[in-house]
Amino acid sequence: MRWKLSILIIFLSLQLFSQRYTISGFVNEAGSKESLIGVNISVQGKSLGTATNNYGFYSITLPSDSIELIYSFVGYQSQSYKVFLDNNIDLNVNLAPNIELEAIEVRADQPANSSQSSRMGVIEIPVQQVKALPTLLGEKDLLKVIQLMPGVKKGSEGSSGFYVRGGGPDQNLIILDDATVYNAYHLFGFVSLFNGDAIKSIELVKGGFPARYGGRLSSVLDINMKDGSKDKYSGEAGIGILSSRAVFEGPIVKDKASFLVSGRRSYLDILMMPFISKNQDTYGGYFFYDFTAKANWEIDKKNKIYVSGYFGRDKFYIKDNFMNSNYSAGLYWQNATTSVRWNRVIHSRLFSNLSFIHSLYQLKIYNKESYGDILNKNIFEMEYSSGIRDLGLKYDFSWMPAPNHNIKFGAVLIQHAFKPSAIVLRDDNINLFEKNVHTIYSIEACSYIEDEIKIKNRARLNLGGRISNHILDDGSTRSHIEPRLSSSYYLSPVSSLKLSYAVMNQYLHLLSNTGLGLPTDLWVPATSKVPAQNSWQTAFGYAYDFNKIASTFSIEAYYKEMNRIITYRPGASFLLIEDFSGANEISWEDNVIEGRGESYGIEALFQRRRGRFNGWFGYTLSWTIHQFDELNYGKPFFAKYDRRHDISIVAIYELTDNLNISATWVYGTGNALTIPIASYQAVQEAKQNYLYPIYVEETSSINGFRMAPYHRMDLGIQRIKKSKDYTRIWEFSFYNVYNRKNPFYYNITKETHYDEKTGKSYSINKLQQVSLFPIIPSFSYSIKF
Amino acid sequence: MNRFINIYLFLISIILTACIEDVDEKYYPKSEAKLVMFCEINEKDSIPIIITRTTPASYNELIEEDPYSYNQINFVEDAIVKVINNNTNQEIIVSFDDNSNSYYIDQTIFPFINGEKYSIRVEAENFKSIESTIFIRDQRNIEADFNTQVIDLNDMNSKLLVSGEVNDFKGEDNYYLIEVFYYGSDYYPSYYRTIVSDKNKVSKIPFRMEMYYDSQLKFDSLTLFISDIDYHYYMYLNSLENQSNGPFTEPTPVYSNIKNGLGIFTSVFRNKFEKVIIGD
Repeated sequence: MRWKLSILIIFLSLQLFSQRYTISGFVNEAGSKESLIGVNISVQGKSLGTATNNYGFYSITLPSDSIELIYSFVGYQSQSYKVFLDNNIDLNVNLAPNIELEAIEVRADQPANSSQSSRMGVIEIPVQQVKALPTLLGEKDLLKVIQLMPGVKKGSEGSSGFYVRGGGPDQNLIILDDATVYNAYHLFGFVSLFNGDAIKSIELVKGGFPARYGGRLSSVLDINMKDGSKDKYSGEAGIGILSSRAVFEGPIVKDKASFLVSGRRSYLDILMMPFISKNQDTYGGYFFYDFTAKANWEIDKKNKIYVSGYFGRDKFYIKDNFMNSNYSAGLYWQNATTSVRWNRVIHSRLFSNLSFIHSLYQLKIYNKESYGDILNKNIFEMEYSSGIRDLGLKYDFSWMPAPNHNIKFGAVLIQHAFKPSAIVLRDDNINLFEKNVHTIYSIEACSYIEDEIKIKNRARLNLGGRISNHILDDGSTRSHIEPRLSSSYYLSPVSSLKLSYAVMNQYLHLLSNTGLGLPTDLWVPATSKVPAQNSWQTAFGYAYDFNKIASTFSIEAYYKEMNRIITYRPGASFLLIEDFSGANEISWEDNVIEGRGESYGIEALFQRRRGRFNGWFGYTLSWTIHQFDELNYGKPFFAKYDRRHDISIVAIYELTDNLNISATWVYGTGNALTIPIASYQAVQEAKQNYLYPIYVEETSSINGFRMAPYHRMDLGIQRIKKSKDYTRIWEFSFYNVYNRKNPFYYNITKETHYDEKTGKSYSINKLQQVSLFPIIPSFSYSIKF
Repeated sequence: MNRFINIYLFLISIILTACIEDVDEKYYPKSEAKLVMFCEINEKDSIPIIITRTTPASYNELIEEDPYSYNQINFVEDAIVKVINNNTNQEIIVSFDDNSNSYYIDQTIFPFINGEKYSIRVEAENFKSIESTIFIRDQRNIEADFNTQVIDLNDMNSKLLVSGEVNDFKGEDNYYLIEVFYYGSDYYPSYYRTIVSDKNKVSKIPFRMEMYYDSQLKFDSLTLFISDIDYHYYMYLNSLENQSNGPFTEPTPVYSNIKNGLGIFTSVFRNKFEKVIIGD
């Protein structure tokens, strides 16, 4: 009997001890009900906590007790709730924005210590910081802000393209509300296609990838659009030198459903119209526009639907009419994305999201010439097009069974449809042919699981894996297992050592001649002949939080190996057709070669995200090396975007409540470049006392020349004027304040000169540097209502 | 409003106007003038060795002919050109021939023998000496099948299509130069060429050449040469073909097997095939 009683007592005490309850809900912005991503929820006096997910949902399971929960987020007033946990609780919280010092208030109770996070190589940039920084031509460009972070390099002058830890522009997965964006740039890369006014959050993952991310070797840029206010109608409109933009949002059904629409258009072509008569012989123009729309509907407490879409287009055109001849040519590219997402809280500890995703990218180049009279008209027409279209289904789950486990699992299915290059040519003088490339289909099917594990107060671990399958156009399947690990070992409450490891596979390639991410670059699938790219990356780091000054210091060393990266074979390009009549036989697979690459380096970041004076200092020391058997005689060479030193200093200072000043300074070792270093006549054949020479240039070894170092300072001043109904913002920016002539590219020109003394003429090969942007003042005005 | 637009366009034009400036010579890539050699050993009695030089950036080049010509060949006339049979150590120094602007080797005096190794060394004042060595392999008979077809595209243009297959030598990497000379009774021969390799490891290597010409010209015979060339010559010709493919291509270095210099030293054996063009 005694032993039975003992068992009963032990069982009851275990039951009591293990009695746990869950507090879950959504954290929204007070008023607009905009869901807030990454809000920290901590338990007062305990080292327990969690954060809201991409939809503002949180869940924390704790033993029965009286507790105080603190909700805190950058730019918002913290809130705390005392609750007694004796059953599961639904607790939706609304955080109010800081009114006085928007986004920049320093609070001593901010618990968001980055040293305590297991994640490595993650950059989160508050949208408010993006908006406060100086601009080029008045365009708020979040990709240009991303370029200011360590480990992220910009391409050429003014370009929004970015390169992460030695990876090419194709190795960045850019996601807008779950939909992939294949070409994220307007104006040949000078402006990103994201309208900053419609963006809620930006996160760049450059290493230590959690298992839920995959499909690219180097980075994931996750961008979430604003949901739209559920409370009242509001908007924002602005004009800059290059384009104008507007955002409008409001409730469809108050507190239940809302919408947001935004648009942007450049107007250089419109302003030039009065100066160009349609009767003029030659005229041309360029414009871009984009349009974003999003709607969401809260069906009930457990179900929400989001629908979002983006469409943007760039077009450059030229026309020439002379006598009986007409010529027109142009180039345009367009992006479109759609995502429909269904959030469901299945249980207080289990959250799910089902997404249907569509993305499209298309490029078209056309050229039409006609000449001769009506009776005898000759026509030459050429049209080149390429593109990629994705249809995807994604089902993600978050399960939070205990305070020390946060398990995410799910599956992704994407069908890619590629049209690598379709050419339609009509030439009355030769013949007619049409090369309609068959659409190539491939399917990516992945499943993943990861667990964020807290090991007492000493460590945190994100352990996971991803199984990815690629079904090729010919029906064959390739499968890969991708283990993932990132961890943090706490040295103290404010410092930690970090370690990460990730294997990635990429089932599509971007064929690029320039490596700059131009719209003419060609997306192609991995095939049995040109297999998938693969990489593994490891990183080791240290993080320290300076809580008193709300700052963080981190340093990371990384090594990344990339296999089966591709490039065009020497001399080939996306439009290489030496003989049009034989173009049907040209395959892009014959125009590419396969190689490998490695990148390694050290990145340091000191960042202050809050306070009147905030910003960051970043430094990167890195090497990126490529090797292709058919390039550079098989010898390794530095990648074009290899950059030994990269420094960025960003400072934002709020002088008064109505006046902000900001400055950025960047320095980077010059890009590696292949340039001609001499010229000569190469003999092709010597036949019957006659030489067949060809003028050629002796080039440096591949990327064997370094451009001059790049450095630049930008300044910005924001004047904010608030009234009862609206807020006006005047902004002045100065790009390249000290007018540094940074190199854009180099070429060799042959100049001739006559020497009066000798009476002879000489020629000289001269190296010239072309610079793009001098000091550029710009102005923008926006109004919020 | 017009004033505003004018100011706007003025600002935009300033912004978009690129600035071009000469790079200070101290930042030039290090480059000095190099000797360039071309020598193709074949079945002919006299083998020319052509020695020229490069013009580096910032180098003042005397213009001897057309001041705007890019085709001026800078022959090096005062070089010491030594040809060595590495198997027998027999050497010969060849002198410059003003008529042909080259250094000639007379095969009746210094024959090139199959299966032996040869070097050429060139020394010239103000240049690094250059050297190259090749092995002359045995001449092999190449078997090939080919067809010709003349297609009248319209009243103005015709196309001559030559296509066929080369029987590849098994068990080794092979490279072939295919040249076509097509003749009309009253015209100079026209010439076209292509290079193929057996990199795809097939036993028969297909080739296809398409030549366009004025329909007024009537060709009646065709000579096809298929040459067994070495890897170096294949790479050299391939890299020359890859030059100047437009603004979207990366600069491509020209392949060379000349130590300290540029150019090519190779041996070529031609197999001759002749055919009457059917149809015209």
